[in-house]
Amino acid sequence: MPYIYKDDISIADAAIEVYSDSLEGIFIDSGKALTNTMVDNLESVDIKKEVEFKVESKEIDMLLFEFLEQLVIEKDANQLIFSEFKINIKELDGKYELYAVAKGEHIDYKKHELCADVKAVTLHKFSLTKEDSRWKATMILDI
Amino acid sequence: MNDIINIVKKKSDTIWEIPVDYKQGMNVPVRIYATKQLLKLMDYQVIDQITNVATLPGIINYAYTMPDAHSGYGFPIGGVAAMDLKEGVISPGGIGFDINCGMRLVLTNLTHNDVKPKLRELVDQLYNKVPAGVGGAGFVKINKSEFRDITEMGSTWCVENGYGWEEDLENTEESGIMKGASAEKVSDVAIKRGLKQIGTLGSGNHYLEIQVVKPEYIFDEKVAKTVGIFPNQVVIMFHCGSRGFGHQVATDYLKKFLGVMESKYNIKILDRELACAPFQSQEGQDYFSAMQCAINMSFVNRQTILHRIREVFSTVFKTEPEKLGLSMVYDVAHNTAKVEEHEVDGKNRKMIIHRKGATRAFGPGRSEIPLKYRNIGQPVIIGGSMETGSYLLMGTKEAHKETFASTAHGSGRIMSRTKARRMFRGETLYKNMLKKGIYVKSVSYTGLAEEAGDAYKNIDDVVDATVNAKISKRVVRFIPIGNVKG
Repeated sequence: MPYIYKDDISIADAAIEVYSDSLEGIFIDSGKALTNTMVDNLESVDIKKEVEFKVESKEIDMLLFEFLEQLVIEKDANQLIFSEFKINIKELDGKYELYAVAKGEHIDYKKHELCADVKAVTLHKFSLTKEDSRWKATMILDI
Repeated sequence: MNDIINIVKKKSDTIWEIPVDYKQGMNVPVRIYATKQLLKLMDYQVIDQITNVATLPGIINYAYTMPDAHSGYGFPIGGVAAMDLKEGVISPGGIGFDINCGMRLVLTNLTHNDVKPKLRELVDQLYNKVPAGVGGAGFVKINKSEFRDITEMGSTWCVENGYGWEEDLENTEESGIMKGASAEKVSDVAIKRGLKQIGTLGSGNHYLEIQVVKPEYIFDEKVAKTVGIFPNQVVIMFHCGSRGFGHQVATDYLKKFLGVMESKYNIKILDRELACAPFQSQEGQDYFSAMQCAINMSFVNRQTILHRIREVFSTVFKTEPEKLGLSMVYDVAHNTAKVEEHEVDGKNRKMIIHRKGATRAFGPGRSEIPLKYRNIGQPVIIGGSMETGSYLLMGTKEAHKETFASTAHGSGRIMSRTKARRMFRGETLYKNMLKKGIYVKSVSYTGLAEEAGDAYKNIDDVVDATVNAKISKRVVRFIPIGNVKG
């Protein structure tokens, strides 16, 4: 699994470390980690609906923050959760633009093994770094 | 024993201090309210986080942690910080994302024997009527304009729309309405997130519980009688907050504050989650107003849930809710910042008090307390884990001197959710609880395992610490018999 839950970082909430060889990959796996925090069996989330959105930020870590925040908003506003993502990131005039297609379906209590609700992405220890050629994201999701 | 004991200085059996020179930039020392035993259970991050809080501009006297404190993000959960109104800051991280997450305690005139044969029916119906878990949508169908009204009117909206009794207002902190709320200060996204969530419990540690008053657990008969508690009585307690709406308000302003904090106000912080703005600045005042909208929304959420509880009890017992004595004892808020007046160095001073995972605990005499409680102090409702029990305490005069009238809010976690999932099986837990006489209805077994009693501190130890530190007075302990869990 490209992401691991860290017991020693947060007691009440979900602390996750995500690793990927590509920038797009780290966004995709972070999105999956967010959904997996709410749904134990990620593979049970079928692709029935696609949502397209764009977020931007001057900083790459805040771009990830904005991306994840959109997923939390979709969950609350439209009861949608996602298991697959298409990500396209561009750097233009000192800022990053992200175009995302999030693929998933409506929350189904009978089908999805639901766990804790992710209510917010926090900035506590939030980071996105590149070490050698590998990307690493650390996030604490508020439960 | 962990390193914490080498860092703190003992002031009494329940008060420990970290001096101001512990970390560069601390403006005040830290005070930890805990027994030695609870201190042992505390994770080091609590120390790191609360000493960061002590660096915030305008903080008065101390940065405090309550006996149930555990690490959070930015501020620890169970953290209290009072800021000067002129020199101080307001920080969304010091309030928490789930603004006005809180507890409500409701009476009945039913006994355990009355409820026992109907318990399953009651819990099942409550589970159906009060949506819990990820993405649950509530029964209150409103448009965006009505939602804006709710954020400004608080519980008064409920009474006007048939979701509450007049007396409910008196029994809610701030009478269920924060008057400084302005919906103009709230983003459209926040409203979108909250629109379908009125009347929903949420998940995590949010729950709705049917409890019993065992005669041996009435510690103060006189006070218990004043609030309407009697032996073998059944009461209802629930815990929830402002749902996605409050979270979005916090996130929106966290980002706004990060943009201006250093560049405009030259404030440097040790953790981005502590982002703040001067209380008197435009940004600070805008957040204060938006945060009050979230407090109001949360009051409405709990008020509409109470309405559903009254409907369920009325249906199951085929009796009007008034005749079942379904009156509120009180509604307390956990995650707030409020302007209050307290004595500092012999003089009354107004301050903005951040309580994150902490309860206001006004002692007898405060004008903010309903008249019927004014001589006994403000009711404080402490929710335990779903397996153990909960408490009704009262605020004390000593709490004003000690902690600016603040106390604990619950048990406090000692085990992470992932570890709890590995340690406990939800299905086994369900069966064991049933053997103990607790019928629980949960959205999922996984969610249930995360909330196992052993994942929390012992509630009795937490309450002992608040009582020994004189920041609360013990009144009643409640035993769970039915539980709806998100």
